[in-house]
Amino acid sequence: MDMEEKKLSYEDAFKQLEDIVEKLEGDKSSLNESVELFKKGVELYKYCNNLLSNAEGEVKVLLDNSNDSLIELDFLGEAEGDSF
Amino acid sequence: MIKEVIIKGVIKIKPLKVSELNNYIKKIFSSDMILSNIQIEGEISNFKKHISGHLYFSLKDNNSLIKCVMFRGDALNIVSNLAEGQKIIAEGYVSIYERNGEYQLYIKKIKDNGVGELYEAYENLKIKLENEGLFESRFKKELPFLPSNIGVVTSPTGAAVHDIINIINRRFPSCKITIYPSLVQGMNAPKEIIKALKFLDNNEAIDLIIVGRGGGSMEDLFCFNDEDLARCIFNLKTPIISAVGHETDFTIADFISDLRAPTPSAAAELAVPDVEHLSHNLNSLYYDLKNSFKKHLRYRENSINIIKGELKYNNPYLKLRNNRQDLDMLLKDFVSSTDNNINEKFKSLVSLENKLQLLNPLLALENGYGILTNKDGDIIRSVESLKLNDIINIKIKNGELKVILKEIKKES
Repeated sequence: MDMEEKKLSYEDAFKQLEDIVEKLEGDKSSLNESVELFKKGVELYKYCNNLLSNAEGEVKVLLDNSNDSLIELDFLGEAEGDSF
Repeated sequence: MIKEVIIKGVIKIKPLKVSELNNYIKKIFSSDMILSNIQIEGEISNFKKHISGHLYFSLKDNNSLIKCVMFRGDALNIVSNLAEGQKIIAEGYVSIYERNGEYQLYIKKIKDNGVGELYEAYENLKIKLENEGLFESRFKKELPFLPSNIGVVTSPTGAAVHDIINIINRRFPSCKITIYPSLVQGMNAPKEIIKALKFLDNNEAIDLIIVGRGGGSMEDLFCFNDEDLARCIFNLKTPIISAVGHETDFTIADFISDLRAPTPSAAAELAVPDVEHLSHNLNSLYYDLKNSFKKHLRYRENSINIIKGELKYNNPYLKLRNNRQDLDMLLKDFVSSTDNNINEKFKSLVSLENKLQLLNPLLALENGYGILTNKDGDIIRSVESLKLNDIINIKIKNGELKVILKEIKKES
């Protein structure tokens, strides 16, 4: 996958994949073109799939340090404090 | 003395210390149903905010006054600044400050004298910002379809933050969540929320912000009607979803945010798509891709087969063979048609012969006729060419006669 596709958003990639399927179903492309389209389509599928099944996301909580800086901690949901 | 005591109904006891008396009075106050939980209406006077955060003031009406204290923990929840002369309803209990021997009102909660004033402030701010055009849809930023890191500004405890985390994790597990804990109630909340929003907005990794809290009274939610907070939200570069209270609660923050979610849970639902739904769509599109490519190949294959068929049909050898067959057929036709021709001719020949037979002069001789010829052998057909004494040949059935002409009679 090239760098350009790395910046591609999921919706754009999905749209491109839809366009490719539509073109392939149109039967208008030459054999060479259709092979190229198919290869590109498979790449887009892998790209989208990868975006959906990335590693588990983390939950962080920012805490005020005494000297006005923030520290980042894993959020455990057990923090002390007033509850609203 | 004893008699006197009995008459007046008073128990005579030994002298008490001052502190014992005050302690005794305190106990009596706290056991009183009314004094231990009471609402007092009055006007603030002599207001002092101590460095510790405790508030000291008096409540008074036209005739009377009571000293009041509100400790820091409770004072944090006050919606708006208290001011001298302000009419409020205070909720708390009456007790003794033993050191000074003073009774005072210990305030737990302050209700601004009528929600009406809060509502008026809310309405005024809403109209003001609306007139500035800050709620217009053209200012609403588009939310990212797949946010990678969602900043959440809310209380770190309570149900809201857990709802948000749970729902985001369920719908789109790979999304990161960064929680910036903040007060979400009381006077100081707007300042904290603004600080949190600005921090998250400047963090490049954060591509969506959720700000909000769970349900509460109008006073509880009132910090989300702060003008500074509204302007801060308006100026954010990062798209923001507001999620304040319940579905029926509307705050200024809701109007100015890019999207208003009715509850914190709903905000999480709106923030991320359901990964299973996306996966399903993606996989079905992938299936279409494979299928259409296969169809495409099959179509090519069919075209090739058709061309192959045409090629076969146009094979020169096959053509030669066909031509040979055509030729054979032609020959056969020719032969048969020639045969027919001969037959026809033969038939007409026979009939001609029959006719000829009928015309045979010899046949006349059989019947006793004779044929007359002159000396040159020409057949005599008329008397004109004859003279007397001409010699005439007569041919009859079985011989020839030479006769001399003796008389000529011409018929008219």
